[in-house]
Amino acid sequence: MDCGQTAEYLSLLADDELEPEIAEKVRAHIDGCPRCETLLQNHVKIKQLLPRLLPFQKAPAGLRSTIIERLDASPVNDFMHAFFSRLRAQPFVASGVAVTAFLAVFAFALVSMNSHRLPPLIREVMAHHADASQHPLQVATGDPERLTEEISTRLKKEIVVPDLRSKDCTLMGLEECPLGERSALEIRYGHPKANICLFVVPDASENDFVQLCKPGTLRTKQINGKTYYYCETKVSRAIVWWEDDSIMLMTSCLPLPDPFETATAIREKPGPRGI
Amino acid sequence: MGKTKKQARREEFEREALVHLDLLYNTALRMTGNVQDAEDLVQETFLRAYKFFDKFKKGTNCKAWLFRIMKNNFINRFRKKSREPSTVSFEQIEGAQGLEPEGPSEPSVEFELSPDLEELVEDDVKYALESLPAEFRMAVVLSDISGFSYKEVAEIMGTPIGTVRSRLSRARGVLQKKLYDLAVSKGIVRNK
Repeated sequence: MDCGQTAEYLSLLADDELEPEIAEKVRAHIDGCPRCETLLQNHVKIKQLLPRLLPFQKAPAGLRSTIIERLDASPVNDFMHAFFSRLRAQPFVASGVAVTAFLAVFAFALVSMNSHRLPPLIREVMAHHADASQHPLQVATGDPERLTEEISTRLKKEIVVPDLRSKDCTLMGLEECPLGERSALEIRYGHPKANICLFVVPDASENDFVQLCKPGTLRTKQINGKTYYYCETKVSRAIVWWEDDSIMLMTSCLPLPDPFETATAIREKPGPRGI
Repeated sequence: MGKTKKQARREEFEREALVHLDLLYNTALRMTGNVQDAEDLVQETFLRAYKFFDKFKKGTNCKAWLFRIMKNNFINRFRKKSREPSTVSFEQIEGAQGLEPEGPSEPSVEFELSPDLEELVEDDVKYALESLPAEFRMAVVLSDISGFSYKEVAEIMGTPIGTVRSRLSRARGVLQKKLYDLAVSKGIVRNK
């Protein structure tokens, strides 16, 4: 193990979170390398310094009572609470309600399956990720409307994501991450068959576009009168399109566990010189 | 006279959730960097938790559930600060710890944090912490200040454990550099 490999494990070693076999190899290197030993000690010192210089602060005296006052003022759905309490008290009625609810959900699912239509872009992504349906979906929460608002606020302009504003997709997370040479917003969606990632690169240039594509893999397709580009990054296929001066890059997030690795991979292989 | 259902619900919430008030507040304080934002964040977190308390599965980890809600509130309402000019960019974070994609895979942060670093004050550490992007700051605060394990941090932040590892490693690298530079500028340690 060399200094470069060791550096990646120092933080984990400081936290005692390394698997024993790897920890042993890292320690063996550190024992003979004063420089890495120093770097490890730096991690340990930071870990100790933070709680020491930022001592635990209890909540201010009035905060608890303020919260309790606001709890009392907040609307509680007494009807639902009373409904479920009553059900708990009458198991026979509860069983009847449960069976009826199950039948209703089953019937709705049957109807939904027959009328099920995936948004076009998601169908395209699914076609490129045949094994996506093998992966279990994480717990999906959120609200696509809020997503659109959030993106628009963050970018200080209206971004249209028409094909994803669908009941089939659920917003699961939104965070900033590096993509290629640029910073992007990563928006994770949950879909009944796969997780989808949409990266928004604001104020992008043609060069940014070129950076994100693997040479010789670019193809185009018209969907609903708009031009979409297919490209391959080193780790995944993606669909890329322009939204005003922002690049939108959509892919299944399955092969992209860590945006940093993705960014590194793209940089290692620069894109073609032209679109 | 017996308690109303509303009273019983609130008392249960106090028992299960409000007992974590101090821990949530301390974490919020370190994440937001100031008392007012921390109080707002904590209040919003508890109000939201109360609204959805019926959906919380009794017997599961209430503390982690509250922290997840707080994390979402923080990302939604307080992350604008991470875009301020004083914030460290992702590129700088990548540059620390020898993670430059095209450079040699050797640590570029080469200095020794002297024991004199203890002479730094709370404000110095706060400044260094606030310079990190929100997700990185949160990983450090949850792990090093609030004492959550990597697994718990991953659960709270809704990211794979590998992401938590890399964020912590990079964030600590940046903190080391920031604190070292601060210590040099204050004459606490001499630049090598």
